[in-house]
Amino acid sequence: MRELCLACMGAVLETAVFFSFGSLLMKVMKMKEEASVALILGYLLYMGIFELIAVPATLLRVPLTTLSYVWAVFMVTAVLAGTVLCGRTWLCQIHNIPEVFRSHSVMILAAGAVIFLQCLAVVLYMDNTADAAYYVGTVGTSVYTDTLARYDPLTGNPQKNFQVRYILSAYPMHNAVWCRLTGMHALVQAKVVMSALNVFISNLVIYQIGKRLFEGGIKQADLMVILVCVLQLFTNTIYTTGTFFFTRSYEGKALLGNLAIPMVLFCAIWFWQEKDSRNIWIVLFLSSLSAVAFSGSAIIFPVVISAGFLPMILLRKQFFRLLPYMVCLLPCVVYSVVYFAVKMKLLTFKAW
Amino acid sequence: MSGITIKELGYGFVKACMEAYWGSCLFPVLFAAGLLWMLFSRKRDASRVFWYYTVFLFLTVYNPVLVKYIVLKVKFENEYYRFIWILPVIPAIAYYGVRLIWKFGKSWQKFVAFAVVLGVIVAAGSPVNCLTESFTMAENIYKIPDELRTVCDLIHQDRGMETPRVVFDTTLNNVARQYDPSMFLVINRNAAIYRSGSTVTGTFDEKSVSYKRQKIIMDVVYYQQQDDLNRFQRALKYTKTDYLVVKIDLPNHDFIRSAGCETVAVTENYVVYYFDWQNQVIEE
Repeated sequence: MRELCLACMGAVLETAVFFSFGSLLMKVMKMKEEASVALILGYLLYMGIFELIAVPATLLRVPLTTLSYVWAVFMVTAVLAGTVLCGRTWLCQIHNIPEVFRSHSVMILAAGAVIFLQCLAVVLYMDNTADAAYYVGTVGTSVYTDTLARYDPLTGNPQKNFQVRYILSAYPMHNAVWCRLTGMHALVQAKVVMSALNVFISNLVIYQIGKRLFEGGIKQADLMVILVCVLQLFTNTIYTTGTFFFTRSYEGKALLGNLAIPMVLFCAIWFWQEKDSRNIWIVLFLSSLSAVAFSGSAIIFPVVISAGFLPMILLRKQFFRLLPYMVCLLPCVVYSVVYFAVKMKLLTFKAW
Repeated sequence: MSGITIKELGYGFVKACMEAYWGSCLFPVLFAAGLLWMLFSRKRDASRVFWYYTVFLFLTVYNPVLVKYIVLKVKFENEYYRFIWILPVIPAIAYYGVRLIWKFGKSWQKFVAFAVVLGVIVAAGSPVNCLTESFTMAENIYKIPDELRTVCDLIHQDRGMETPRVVFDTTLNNVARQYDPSMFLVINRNAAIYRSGSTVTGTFDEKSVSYKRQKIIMDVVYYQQQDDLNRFQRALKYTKTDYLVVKIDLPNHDFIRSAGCETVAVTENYVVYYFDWQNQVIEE
């Protein structure tokens, strides 16, 4: 019962933090406030900043408790700043809820029910894939030893060197920080709370893609969420994003396939529609940075971003766009350089 | 992707990966049909982006010639399927489906069109088995077998060890430390995967002392291939194994007991043994 209460509290708090981060970012970017966009952008911004703090902290062998307190200060500041600066907007959004329901009509209930069922499925499903031994094991091990990834989660023994394949992506340490701050069990935070939140936010991304494709058609976007859910349910091989979405939503890899890559598609559609908007590049950069935070497979992100943007840049002959495009590749390029430097034994990160 | 190698398939690697990725699912056909529909309807809307993705990807990471050299060079064969994630097949089909449904004006017509689209998806796809046919319901909020919690409690209560070194049965080995990180595992997950014949998590030096000891234990506990009691005892002693958690229906419990393992507890499916490695006298 204690864990259930902690899980509910954790889900609410984490959502509030993501939302605050997002609202602040949207204010800075002067974007029209929309709750679903705020939550998506907040999640990406949160993961991006966390990556920039947690990876150096890991390499500097900072204790988990220290990182947790530092990060708690960030989060409290973001929530307070959000409340002060965006509080009025939030109140307006609450007042607008009946209007939102009216404009979506019955479709919002159908889409909501589908999302709820997906969350329920991932929360109730018991998955025992071998990968969780690392991704969840490292969370519990870090909490138990009050370190950041210095012990091998597969055995519990101290590691001589950090495992570069994993430690450059801070997503598991985000779970460890929340476990340290709330007292939640690693399995509950990773496989219940974050699984459900990841599924929810991934659906919001699909909704936003739909809204862009249908140029504001919210009912069509709702229906697209439903169809995507059915399509994901009918892609049965161990490799598909659908399988990862429903069975391994607690893994960074699943977030890469179901959140970060679709976010690039969202940005690409946005770029097609508004070629001069600067905000596209900010969101794209955040997607790229958070992709690194999610998984080492972000090594493929230069291809992801190029597939979405390079053809349009070249066809439109907007060669000056190559600069922001290349800036957006930076997080993945830096990651790749460090990763290959370690693989080629040009660099080592000692864990002790 | 497991078992699909460039060395073996050469230029056929990409095709083999695509087939393994999609299985019997026909969504790529629906995607292609949607692309053609948009092309022939001469719509210059945002869905044009799907075309850009497709052309770019087939010229680059789905290009068998480039893949043969680059993917092999960067050792990305096992993870190649993640490039297939980039092609927006799922959102594109959903988009085409909604467009089709919205072509109809009246609500009932839309509803019928929706049913047809759903039918096409169901017919073209193949359901995620573990959700539709063999859904494994979590037994508790930790999403681990209840019995693992019992076993961990029993081990801690037995001699009050804070960080016992344990050989878990293969079904529990991967989840044990997710639940209880105070447990030290004698069998490394990657060694167990390698022993089972897969190199997906890497290879091991079979002559290394560490792997050899783990293999001896795995041979007895996972594969029931015991031949030398003394070797098994030495492996347990030198790996400082405190406990073994073994399936109750194994045929070699006598062998395990004769190695000096003492039964601590028996649960519904497992037997928990204690091994006093510090006081075991073993012939060298």
